[in-house]
Amino acid sequence: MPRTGSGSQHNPPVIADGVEGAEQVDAVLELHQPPSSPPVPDDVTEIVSPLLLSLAEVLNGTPVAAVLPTSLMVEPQDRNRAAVLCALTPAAARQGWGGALVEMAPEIRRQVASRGDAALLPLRVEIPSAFKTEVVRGLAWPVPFDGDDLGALVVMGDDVESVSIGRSTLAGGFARAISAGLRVIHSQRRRERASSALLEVARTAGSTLQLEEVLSLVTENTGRLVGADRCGLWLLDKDGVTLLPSALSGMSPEFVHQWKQYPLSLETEPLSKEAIKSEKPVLVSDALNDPRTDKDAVRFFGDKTILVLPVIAKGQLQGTLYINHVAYHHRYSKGEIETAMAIANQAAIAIQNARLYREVEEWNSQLERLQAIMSKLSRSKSVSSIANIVADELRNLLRYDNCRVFVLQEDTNELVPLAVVSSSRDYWIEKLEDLQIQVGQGVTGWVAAQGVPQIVGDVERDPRAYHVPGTPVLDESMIAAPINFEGRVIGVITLSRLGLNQFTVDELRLLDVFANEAAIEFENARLYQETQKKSRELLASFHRVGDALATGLDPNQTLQIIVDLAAEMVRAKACALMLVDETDGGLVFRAARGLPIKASQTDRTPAGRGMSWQVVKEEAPKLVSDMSLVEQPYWMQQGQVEELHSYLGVPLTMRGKVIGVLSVFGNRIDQFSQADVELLSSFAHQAAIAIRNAQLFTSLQERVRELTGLAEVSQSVATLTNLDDTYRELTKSIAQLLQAESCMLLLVGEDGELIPQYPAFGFTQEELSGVKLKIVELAIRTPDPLCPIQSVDGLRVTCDGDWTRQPALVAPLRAQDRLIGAVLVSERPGSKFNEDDLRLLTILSANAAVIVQNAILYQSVDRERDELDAIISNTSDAIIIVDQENRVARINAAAEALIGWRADEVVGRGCEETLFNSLAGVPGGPKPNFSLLDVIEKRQPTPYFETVVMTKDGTERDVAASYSFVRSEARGEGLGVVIARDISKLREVDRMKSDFVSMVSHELRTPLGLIKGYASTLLNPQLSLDQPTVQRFLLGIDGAADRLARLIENVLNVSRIESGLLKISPHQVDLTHLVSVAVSTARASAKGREILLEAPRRPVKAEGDRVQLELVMDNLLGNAIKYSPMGKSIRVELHRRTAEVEVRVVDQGIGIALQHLPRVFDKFYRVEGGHSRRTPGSGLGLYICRNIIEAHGGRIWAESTLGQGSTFAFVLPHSQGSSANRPDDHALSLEPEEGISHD
Amino acid sequence: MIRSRILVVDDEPGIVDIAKANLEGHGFIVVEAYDGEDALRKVKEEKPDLVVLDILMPEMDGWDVLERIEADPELSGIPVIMLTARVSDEDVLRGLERGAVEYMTKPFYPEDLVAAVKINLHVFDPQLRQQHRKLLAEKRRRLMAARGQLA
Repeated sequence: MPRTGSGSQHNPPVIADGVEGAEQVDAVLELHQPPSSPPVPDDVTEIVSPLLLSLAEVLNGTPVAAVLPTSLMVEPQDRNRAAVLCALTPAAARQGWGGALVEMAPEIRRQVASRGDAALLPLRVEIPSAFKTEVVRGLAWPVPFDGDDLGALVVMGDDVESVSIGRSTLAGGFARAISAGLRVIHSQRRRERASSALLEVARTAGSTLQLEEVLSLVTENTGRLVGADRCGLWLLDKDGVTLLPSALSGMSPEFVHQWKQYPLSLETEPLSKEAIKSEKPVLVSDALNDPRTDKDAVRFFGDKTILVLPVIAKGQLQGTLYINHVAYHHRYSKGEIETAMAIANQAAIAIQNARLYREVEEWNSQLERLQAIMSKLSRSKSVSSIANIVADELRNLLRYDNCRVFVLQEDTNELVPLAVVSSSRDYWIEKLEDLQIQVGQGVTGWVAAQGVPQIVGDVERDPRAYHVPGTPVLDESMIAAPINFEGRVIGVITLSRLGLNQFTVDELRLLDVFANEAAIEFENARLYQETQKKSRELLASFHRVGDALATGLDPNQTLQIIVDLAAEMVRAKACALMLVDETDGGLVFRAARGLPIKASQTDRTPAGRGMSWQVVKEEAPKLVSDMSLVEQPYWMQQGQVEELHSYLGVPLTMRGKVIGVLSVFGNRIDQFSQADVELLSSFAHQAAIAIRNAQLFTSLQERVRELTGLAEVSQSVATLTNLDDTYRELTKSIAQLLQAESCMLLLVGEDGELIPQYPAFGFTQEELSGVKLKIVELAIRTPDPLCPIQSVDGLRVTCDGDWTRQPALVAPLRAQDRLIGAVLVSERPGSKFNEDDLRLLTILSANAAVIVQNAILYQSVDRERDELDAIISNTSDAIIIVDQENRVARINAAAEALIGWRADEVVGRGCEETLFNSLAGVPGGPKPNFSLLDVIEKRQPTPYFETVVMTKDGTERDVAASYSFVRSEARGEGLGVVIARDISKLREVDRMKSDFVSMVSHELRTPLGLIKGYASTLLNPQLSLDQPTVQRFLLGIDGAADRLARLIENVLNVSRIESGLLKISPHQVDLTHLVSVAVSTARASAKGREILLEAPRRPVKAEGDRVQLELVMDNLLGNAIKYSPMGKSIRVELHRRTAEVEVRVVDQGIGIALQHLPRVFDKFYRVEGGHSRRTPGSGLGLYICRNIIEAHGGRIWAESTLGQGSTFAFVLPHSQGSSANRPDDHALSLEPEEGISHD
Repeated sequence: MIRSRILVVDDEPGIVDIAKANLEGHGFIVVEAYDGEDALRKVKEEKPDLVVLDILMPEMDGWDVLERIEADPELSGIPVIMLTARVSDEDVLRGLERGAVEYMTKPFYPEDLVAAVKINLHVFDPQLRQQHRKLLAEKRRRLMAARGQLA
């Protein structure tokens, strides 16, 4: 393009004319896209056109135009020219202003790029009608876009001198607005491309095994993604050096076909070498001038910017991906490169699969070819035909009834019949056809063993004869000749005739000659047969390897199969497979057979030692005929293996690199031949494929595990109900899936800060305590390369506490659009996180949010339930819950205690089976006002009722209960709830009280009756009572009044005890005296019952209240009399013990049953049974006694045998104040009871 | 006039003493017994014309004594007056059912006891006894049953 000189700048009128002329013709500006411009995409037009029109309008109709960045074009071929969009008057458009702008576009872009600001530029416009070329000037502003690829906003008719600052600012602003709009479009498109490309690659990679398909998918998607002009994929060949041109996008199929004919080498292609070596993208910005590029290719394609990506799957290099751009210094964003890398890596797996698939296919076809040859060979049956030819030809020489041709099988030392020709077709001939003869067996075997021809006149009677079972005994004669080859017997020919002595010596000689002539042919046939046999074995082995490949993808299993097959193939005594340890070059046993070696890291040979290592070093098979001549393996030196004499090791090679050694050991010196070397080598090649296949399968399995892991995270964690477990599992799973060192969950606290939750994977509790993080920004996603944290959804956090671990990924936890927390993942050792990881974390965090939310909810529900549970369990009232079907749903501990059944015995069982037997009213017992079973079955809420239940062991219990029926909305069913309280004790107290009332009334009535009776009698004037009677009556009144008083005293005592007012006035009491007085008093009312007293004569002192103790004695003696039949004696004993004084009242009365003994001292307690009805008593006496004795610090108890009598005894502490008497007391206690008084 | 013999049974000596004083004052001969066995023995030996019987006694109580008297054809003709501190309707009914002719509760007016003894001796005059005793007992029993139901 001719450059316009600076002189044109001094020609403003031309511009003015042009513009004014246009305005005169037509002042209206319209949007115009020149026909020569590449088509402007609609989305771009949509953004740019309103901006252009408004600028033109603001500038009073000055024409304006936009030169667009090339990378916005959709079609790759459009990207070499910048598109132009103008706002022009129709006249200017007609004059070709637009076309001129398109022509000028590269220059405009270059100028604004070099100036970085508004640039003055000339436009040459050819106006067809005038046949002249006008030069129009304009001023252009850069529209920054993406590096070198920028656009320009052109305002025509302006020049540097005339443009005002305001106008310049205005245009600059519009240029920036256009720039912003275009960037938005660009990033939108990129995101769309990236997602669809990733999706397609991921989908196809999993579904296709066709290499071509996978490859073209990679190039096309990558090219589409980064807007490249061309995208080429080179795959590394097995040799690890050759780069095979494999797929190319952006070119015609014919061209691609041609292109594929020229492989490259890593040695001559520095870009690929660099990319592969560094495992990082390599960028060439100026291909023409870069020393690393192939200039011919660059010129041919016209590519200026070249990006080379290494294609690596699971650490294994697959090749390189070239992304070419015709523009110089094409700018790739960081995201674009990363996404392209992600696609390449995902595709690499698919490429790997596809290549493997292709290899297996190729190998299969090789096997098929071999098989075809073998079957063809075996069909020819040339060995037998030779034998048959021999037999046929012999017929021409000698007459015979039977001819057999044997070949010696060396390994079995057997003669195998290859041809049997017989004149007769008798049934037994068939037996001979398959008959194999041992060397030395029969005449034929003898000939083979001796190598001497024989003539036999009578076969059956020959001492060497061997009669074949199942054949008839015939008169038969035969001749036999060995087939000799180079001094070895390789077979035997026999002829026989019916009848004795049928052959002549001449005939034998003829046969011998013939046999020797045929020897060469037989040897050939024999060798052929052996080869064929070996080939068959080989084929069979290959088939087995193939089977193993297909079925055993477990690496260890595969290795073992290889070892087993290798050993069988060369008939080895032992076999071992060792793999090279990458870290130190040593060899590790991975599988062995017939060796005392475990496949483990510990059984290994260090680098530089042993025969196997030499195989690795020399990358060639090694054959050792006699192992005693070389350094022996350590395990042989230990003497654990004997009889291993020869060795053969072959390298296992994968992609030109030795990865291990397959070793076989023989028990004979010089066991392995060169053929074995070849056989084992070719087997090792297949084995290497098998190993790689298994390894690949393992890594694929790993990948599958990862993906299923993702699904399992939510499943496994979702079933956890414990919050701690949930956090632990969740963080562990996330960290493992992302291969990160640590992971934690943070929950939004009350103040809005994020609080780390423990347990968190890779953190200790101490590390997390006190750490708080702040959410500093919540915005739309803004990838910020400067931010060390890659964030999902724009969530950024800063650390507030003393926390040193640097988080690398963070994602928000949102539940129902509410931020509840965040998940933080630490750096990954070894590699940085990429977009995939971020995407994975996005999905994981969405799941995690739901899981955490659920766990928290569950926990709170759980806590509430626990509280309710605790209330139900611990309440003292029995609670029985019955379900819809009247089955016991639950009973609490109090209910267990009440009914005597354990919860596990009744829960789930029908009420009528267990529980309600006991809950029903008891026959013969007090009638309950409600039957509990009735209440439950009717589901009639009953706030209060009393009933009787029977416990498991049959005891009855009175209960007060309430029943309510609770309808559960959620379960759509109801529960019956019985709350019961054991009121047996209350009932009994109640009963005892009423008994007491009637007893007291009786006890009152009796003395009252006496008083009344005596008084009435005395007052009766009709009765003339003598003086003694009157006296007696008055005493009677007195005594009865005393009884009344005592009774009242007892009742009062009870009420004192009850109210804690029982007063003991402690004094020195002489118990000897007190007991004697009580006994004397009691004797008065004993009425025929003898009362004996055993007590020391000396005073026995105790601290106590005399009146109260008298009351105790009165009560005990009164009881003894009351319950003793007439004539029985009562004994009162007073004993001095070391620390206390004991009083015993022993009767021979009716006694007390064992079960009543503990309760006789209870208030109102009276022994049940017939006797109590007849025996007066308030049931208060013993109760009072107990309280009095206990108030003295003593004990009271009862002993009894039913029917034999009872003993009531109490002890009191020694008097504290009687220290002066102690020596006497002591002396007394040593003597036998002194002064026993018997009354 | 033949003085009627009355057996008074009570484990409470005072009661026996009071009954004895009053009954003897009205010309009856009083035989004393202080427990059930003693009472039963004396009923058989003495063949009293009437028995005044307490219930609450040790060993053999008044119910047993009553039962045995009524069960013995030789003795069942002897009218028994219960004199007891047990005042419940149940006991009253029980006493009458078992053949007592009168049920008196303590405390009692000695004159009432004397009157009851006299009436019953008259009612259960040996000649009339056989015909009327059971009839009357039946009536009383019914009466008491009705009373019990009313209560």
